[in-house]
Amino acid sequence: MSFQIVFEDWPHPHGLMRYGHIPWDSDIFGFPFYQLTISEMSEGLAESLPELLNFLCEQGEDKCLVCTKIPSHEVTKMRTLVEHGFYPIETMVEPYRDLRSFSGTRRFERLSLRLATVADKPQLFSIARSAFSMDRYHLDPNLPDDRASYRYEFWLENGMKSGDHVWVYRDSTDDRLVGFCHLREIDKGVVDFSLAAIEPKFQKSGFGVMMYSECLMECKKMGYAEIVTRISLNNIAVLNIYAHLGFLFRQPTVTFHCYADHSERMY
Amino acid sequence: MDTFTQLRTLMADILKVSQEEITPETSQDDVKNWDSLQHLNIMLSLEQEFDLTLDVDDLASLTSVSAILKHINSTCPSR
Repeated sequence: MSFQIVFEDWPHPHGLMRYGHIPWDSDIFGFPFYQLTISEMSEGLAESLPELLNFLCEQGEDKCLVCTKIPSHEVTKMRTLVEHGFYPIETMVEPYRDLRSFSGTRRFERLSLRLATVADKPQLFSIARSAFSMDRYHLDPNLPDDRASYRYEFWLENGMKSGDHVWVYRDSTDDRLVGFCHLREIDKGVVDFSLAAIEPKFQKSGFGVMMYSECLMECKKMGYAEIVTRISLNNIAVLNIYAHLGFLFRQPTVTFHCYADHSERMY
Repeated sequence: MDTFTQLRTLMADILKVSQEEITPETSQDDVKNWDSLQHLNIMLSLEQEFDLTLDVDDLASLTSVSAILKHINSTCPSR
């Protein structure tokens, strides 16, 4: 499976929108998912949007989910989206931190990060399936919860296959996994903190703060100068951790979903 | 000052709630601000204030005022 989205212009080359099929989410949820980007000039959007939604819905399963991310100041564009069946699902920000100025200390020697191995997979995937509940896939009532949870297991599995940094946070006393971090190099010296979670029974107990700090120390040791990530504003607990660790925040965007189901037309 | 009063002052200060909101029955689920970061701050303050050394297991188990009080009383018998 390709892990890249191939975009096409709409309604014509260099048109005001671009759409791309998202193969991994389509596979997980069993119907087509598309990513939509809208150019800065949104004139004509109200006319082109319904045509595009109809076109996408007719591509296969009679239903599809289209998502788009809009900078939070583009209110007119957001209004047009809502008028055409899109609903806001979450507001995201991009925390970032210069790692060169980061200094952390390990509080407990028995807690440390190490590379995930094949043997960790059952515990790792169990955490991935159970730790997330506030992301846009779980929040969207049109998407089944079990598939939304499986998405993170799938994401980790592929991260391990493609050589990303997948680390487990482990208590050496009894070799239990407390959590995991999944990071990916996105540019020279820049690492993206793609996914992290703490085993539910250890949540709200300080382990997340220590694991994130350990992760930053490790990234710095590996020579990365900057770490970036994305987080929903719903997730106040982790936003507080980022703020505590010295992250700054930029690029607020609102994610919209549009779930179009034309299957009833067949009957 | 008795142990509970001392603990209540410390916790109310960290969790930014009134002292009345911290009772011997209070647990993590009762206080919205008692998240991972504030839990760690409470644990670090307990070590300083009560001269304790907490380990990894304590972090996971001291999630209510009664559990914290019990731990303080058992590790500092003079209290």
